[in-house]
Formats: sequence, structure tokens, C-alpha cells
Amino acid sequence: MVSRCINALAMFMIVGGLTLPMTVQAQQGGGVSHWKFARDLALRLGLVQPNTATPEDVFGLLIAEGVVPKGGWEANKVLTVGDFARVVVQVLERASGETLVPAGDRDDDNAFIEAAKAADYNLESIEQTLSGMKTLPDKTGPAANREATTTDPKSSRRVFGQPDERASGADFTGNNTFPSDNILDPLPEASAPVAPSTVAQVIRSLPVTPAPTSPSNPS
Amino acid sequence: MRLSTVLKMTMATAVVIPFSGFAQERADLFEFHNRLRVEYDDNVRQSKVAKQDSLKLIEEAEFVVNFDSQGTYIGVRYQPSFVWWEDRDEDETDLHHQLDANLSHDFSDRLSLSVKELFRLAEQPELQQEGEGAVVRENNDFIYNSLNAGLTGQIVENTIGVIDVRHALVAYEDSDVGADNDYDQLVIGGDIRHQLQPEMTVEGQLRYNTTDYEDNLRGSESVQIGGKVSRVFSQQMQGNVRLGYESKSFDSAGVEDTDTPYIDAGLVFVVSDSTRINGGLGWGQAQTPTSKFATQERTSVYVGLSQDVSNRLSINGSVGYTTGDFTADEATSAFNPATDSTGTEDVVRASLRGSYMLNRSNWLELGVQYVDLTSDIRPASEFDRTRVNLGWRTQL
Repeated sequence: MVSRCINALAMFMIVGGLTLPMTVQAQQGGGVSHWKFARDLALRLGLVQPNTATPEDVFGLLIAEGVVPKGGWEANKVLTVGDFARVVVQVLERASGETLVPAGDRDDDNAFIEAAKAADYNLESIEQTLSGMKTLPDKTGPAANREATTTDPKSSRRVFGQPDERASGADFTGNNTFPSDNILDPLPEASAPVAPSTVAQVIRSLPVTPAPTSPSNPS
Repeated sequence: MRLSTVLKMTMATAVVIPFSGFAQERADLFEFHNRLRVEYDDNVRQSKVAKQDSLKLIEEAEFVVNFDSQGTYIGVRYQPSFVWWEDRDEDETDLHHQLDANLSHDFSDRLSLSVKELFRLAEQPELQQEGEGAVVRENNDFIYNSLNAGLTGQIVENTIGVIDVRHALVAYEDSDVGADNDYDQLVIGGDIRHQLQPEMTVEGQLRYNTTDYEDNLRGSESVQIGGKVSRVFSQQMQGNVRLGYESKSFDSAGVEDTDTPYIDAGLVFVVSDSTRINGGLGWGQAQTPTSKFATQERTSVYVGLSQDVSNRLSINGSVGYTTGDFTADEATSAFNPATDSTGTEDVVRASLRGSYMLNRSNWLELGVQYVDLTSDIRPASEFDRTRVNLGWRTQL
């Protein structure tokens, strides 16, 4: 069994080693869609794994964290500067516990743009902006719970004989969930290390489409 | 052996990253998290008849490094954790290791690859009933490894195809425990996903799953055919439903093939800026915790609430309930009708945690967790357990 495990790991390393040099320059696009941005953001925040979630899964996780553009998430909609700023500020607020835009101004995209800039996010680069973010401090979203009820064998849920003996002293609902209850418990996929797979691609694509009313059009 | 395995993995990871060309890229995201907790555990051996409590000290460190460059990234996380038990005479300490590694690469706008590796090495030493010497848990030290590789490609506009392969294994250190419980699993999945509307996605899904146990009693082979619908109902609500039909055959002689539906669903609802609720349910065939049954019919539900009391104080609560139905039709040759029983096994879990942000890098946490296991099929394993902990969490 141990040797099989090592072999499996070796396979991963080999695949990784062979694949990485095959980087292809991303094709230029016509703006960044909500879906692409949301995927990169969710990866950066540690909410999802690459290629494992549908747009709606990602949107749901972001919604659960209170991160939503003004008109909601729409997979094919082009991201505007107003959307971008709003989401950035929401993440910053979530991470810092501080209110950066007063309640009375929260309908105004410009208030979010100014707040983002005041926090040293100039919004001229999605890549730069996302790279300044860290995984959310308390990932208590629905990912871990949802894993517990899935019937999909592709999930990493596992079965052990001993219930409720944790493997890492982690919490049921919290970050790094890893109690080994015999049936229910998920592995901590939602909190595993992640980085945006396409951040570089996104930044090399066209800049975000400016909001019509934005006075701070980066383009 | 276990230490050598960890060392090999660490070395392999260290070797792969520089050779991948990422040495030229900056590690633009390095994170360190630490969580130190003092916990009161009212049932350290998960015993029904002779509970014993203990204080514990739990130290968890977490190192995360991410590299990304031109559509490719690697993320590596290593998390060692140490637990000291004030009153567990058999073994006062546990040391665990978790290593996660992710690789994702976009070959183009239309084709991408994802590889994900999870490795766990855990200490779960033998426990004995205090004063009686009876073993209440055998040595359950184990390793767990899961390797998943997936290829995602755009077929036509708004339609993508996904092919996934996953291999998982569990291996216990104790040979007697491993003889019953070691297994490895191979899952091959294919999805066709179509964006039907801006806010709705539909999928067709196919899964092949084969699970092999050392003793062959719980081994099985199954095929799932089904679909999934995901929808963003509004800015405040998102949900998904996955359902289909599963055909399953078993290695154990005398256990007949089964054909059953399966379903799971989840919903996220943002009540207000400060309140979020999520819930879900699942029903279908599932692996079992004992070699006496080849399969179970499992039903599970959960509901969770996140409440931001203030800018700095948040509370998260969650309740989950699972019930498994174990019948004579699924009993293996290890099942003895004279001494063993069929029936149900229920698990209730509840958790409540408050988190107070001291500053951007430090939090105080207070948490309570409760677990209750009741079982017709293994009554000796029944227990309930409550844990209360106070912790300090930091993120750099």
C-alpha cells in the first residue's frame, strides 16, 4: 500500500513536471467575463480547486461569503470596473472586518472604486490586485458541508472505521476541516492551497471593460 | 516507513518546483497560518460506558506557497499538527501531517488540465479502557492518498467537456486493522456541461467507480449515470441538484447487485449583508464503516448559518445528520446472524464557533463541537462527545 501511495505521488510529480513547460501564451480576448474573474478570485481566496466547480458553484461560494457584483453574478457578462472594485472591496471588508464603504454609498460604484484605491488597489491590473489578496481568514462557507452530502464518487470523501477521531484537531465547520468521522467528513478541499490558474492569462488579456459611469477608467 | 514517506514527498515536491521553470517566477503568494488552541474534551476515547475527559493543547501550523505564470500554477500546502493530551495515559501526543499540491495549466482558452494531490499521515494510537486494559481502539495510524487528474475542454460555445480520473487509497499501519479496512479506489468521470442561460448550467454525468478492499468483503464496482442542474436564482440565492441512477455490483459472495437512484442538493441563501444560510441533503448508496456490510443506503442533511454580529465578530453554526440503513441483503460473510444485527446507524454533529478579529492578522476563537453516534450494527462503538475550545489564530 505504501509503495502504491508513493507511486501515485510519483505519477503526480511526473505529470506536473511534464506539463509545466508546455505553457502556451493565452489568446487575447474581448474582456474578462464574470465567470473567469470569479474563478480566479475563488481560487485566490481558497474557496475552490481548479476545474472542480461549475460557474454556479463558484458563484454560490462567493455569494455565501458576501462577495457579489451590483447586479449579481452572470457567467457570460463582461466585468466592469465598477464590478471589479465592488468585489475587491467586499473581499477586503471580509478579510479586515472593517467597513470601507458606508451603507449609504453602497449603491454607488464610484464609492467602491475610491475605497479600493484608498486601500492601495489601483484596479489597473487584475493580476496585481488578486495577487495582493490572501485566502479568506475564516472559510466557513458551504463547501465543507456540501462535500458531506455529495453522492459523487469524484469527491474526496473517505471512509474510516473509527468515527470522530480527528486527524488534525480541526473543526467540523472551520478552516482545515479534517475530522475523520466514518462517513460524513470531507477532506479540506475548500481550504487546500490554491492560486489562480488563469490570473496570468487574465492580465494578459484585454483590460477590464470600464463602467460607463466610472471616472477612473483605467483604459 | 511513514517518516520516510513524508521525506520522500517533501523532497519530490522540492525537486519538481524548480524543474518546472517556476524557479524563475516569484512566489507571489506565501502564506503562513497558525492556530493554537486549548480544548476540553469530555470523552477522549469515544466510549459510551466509561467517559473520561481531558484537556488538550492543539497546535496547527500551515504553510502555503503558490506559483503562477502564464496560465499555469502550482499550489503547495503543508500542515503539521500536534495534539497534547493532558489525561490520556496510553499516548499523550498525536502528530499529523497534511500535504496538498495542486497543478493547473491552461493549454489555451479552450483546454486546461488540473492535477490535485492530497496526502495525509495521521497518528491514532491504540486506546485502552482506563483501569481495565480493554482495547477500545486499535492502533489506527494510517496514510491516505488521493490523486486526481482532470482535463477540461470547450466543445462548442457554452458547452464544455470534463474528463477526470481519481485514485485514492487508505492504508493502516497495523496489519490487523489494515486487513479489514485498507482499500484503494479508482473513479473515472465524464461530464458534459452546458450553459443553458446566463444563470443556469445543466450537466450530463457519467461515473465509473471501483473500490477494492484487502479482504474483498466491501469491494464494489459501480456506474452512475445522471445529471446536475445549477442555478443562480438571484443575487442572494444559488442552488444545485445532482441526481441519477447507480448500478452497483459487489465482490462479496452472496451480496446481490443493486440498482438505485441517487440525489444530492445544496442551497445557499444570503439573508442579508450579515447573515448567510446554507443547507443540503444527499441520498444514495455509500461505503460502510464495517466489513459486515457491503453497502448502505445513506441519507444525510445539513444546515449552516453564518452571522456577522459586528465588523469584528462572526458566528458560524452548523448541524448535520446522517443515517445509514444496513440490511441483511447487503450483509457479507463476516456478518454472523447469531451475534450481529442489522438496522441503522445515526450520526448527529453540531458545531458553533465565534471568531473575533483582533486585527488584520489575529483572531480569537471560541468553539463548541458535539458528536453523537448511535448504531444498531455496532452498539459497542456508540458514544457522544462534546469539545469546547479557545484558540488564537494568526495569518501572515
